[in-house]
Amino acid sequence: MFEIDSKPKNKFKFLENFGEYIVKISRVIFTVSVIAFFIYFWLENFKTGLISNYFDLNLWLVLAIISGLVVLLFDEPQKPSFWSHFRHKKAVFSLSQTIGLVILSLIVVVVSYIQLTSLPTLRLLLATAIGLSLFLIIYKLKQEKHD
Amino acid sequence: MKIFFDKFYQISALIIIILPIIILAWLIKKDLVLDGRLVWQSDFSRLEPALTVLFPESRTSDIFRNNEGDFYWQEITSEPVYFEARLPQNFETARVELEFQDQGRSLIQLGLRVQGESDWNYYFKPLSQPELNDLNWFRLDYEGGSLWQKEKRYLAINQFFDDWLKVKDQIAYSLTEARANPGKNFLLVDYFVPTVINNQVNLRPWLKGNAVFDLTKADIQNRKLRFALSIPELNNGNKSLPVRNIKIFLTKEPLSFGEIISKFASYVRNRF
Repeated sequence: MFEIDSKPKNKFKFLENFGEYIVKISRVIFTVSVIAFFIYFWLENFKTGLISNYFDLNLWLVLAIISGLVVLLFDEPQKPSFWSHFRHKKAVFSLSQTIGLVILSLIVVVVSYIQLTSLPTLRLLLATAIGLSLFLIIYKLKQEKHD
Repeated sequence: MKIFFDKFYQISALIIIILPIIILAWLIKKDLVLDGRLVWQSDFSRLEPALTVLFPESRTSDIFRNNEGDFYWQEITSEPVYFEARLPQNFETARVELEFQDQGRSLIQLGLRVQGESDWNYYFKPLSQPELNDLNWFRLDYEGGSLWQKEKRYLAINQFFDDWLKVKDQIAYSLTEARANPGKNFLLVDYFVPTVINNQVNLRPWLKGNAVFDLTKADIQNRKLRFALSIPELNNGNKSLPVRNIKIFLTKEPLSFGEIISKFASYVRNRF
């Protein structure tokens, strides 16, 4: 009787631990592949062919998408969510500062879009990501000061 | 079980973090071409990052695949057509190998774009020269080309070069020169007679031709070498030349560790 019950429990425990492992490792894969993509991409622009002659840069993007999806679908929210950082009672920026930051980010998006001529299919996505990153970094820095 | 997965997570996370660094180190090592030898190859099955397809499109057909799926090929319908190879470093020589389907009856020339005053400067070498293919002199191939002997005197190329001073007045350097001077018993050319790859019954044979170029005078733009293929026969009538498998063997002096450091320093200095 005891043995019949214990096996499914162990099996379930194994699957639970394995699932937890997959989600945890996906978080690492996502972070590493996104950082690796940007570093490799920068190096490729620095010297054309250094990466693309021997390696497909899209591999990092595919890994980032797969691991990102795993994290997005199966990760349990243990920490405050990403967006909760932006919910503050007091405004971090004044209206004029917000407009200034938005304009600065838009300028960065436009300049990046113009500069990324070698990547016609990805330039809009990358330019938007660069502008958004700048906005978020400045926002976070200001927020920490504010807190 | 939990402890096992925690340990496993730590080890695999470490591997995942280190992996891009190892790959990057490998890529830099590949790009430096430390041993001085690099091969770029295109079998037309997919686009290669370092080697372009034949262009312009208006002078070539689509890319075809044979029924068995063994190989891909493209037809050149008019000439000249071009292709480019990206160079990760500076190289001294390039040996280009190209396979084409021909009976050895067409003059096929491969040219390297070289520096010059006009826009269109190509130094051509034959990949297939029917007049030489048909020449019934004894032939000795060597790494620099071929030696043709009116009468068989040398069995190895070394014997010929050892005897150089004795026979130098009997050497012609082109077929025209050899034909114009009956006293020329030897013909020394940097030409490699194409070799037959397959010769199955009822099938037109595929031939492999190759030409070696000195890259000292090459016109390299944006780190790219440009080659031109010229087949004058294609301009007469509805003919086409099937080609497949382009291979480029690039060579230079191997790099030492000290040279790598100075190369990197000068590169960074130039860049910034």
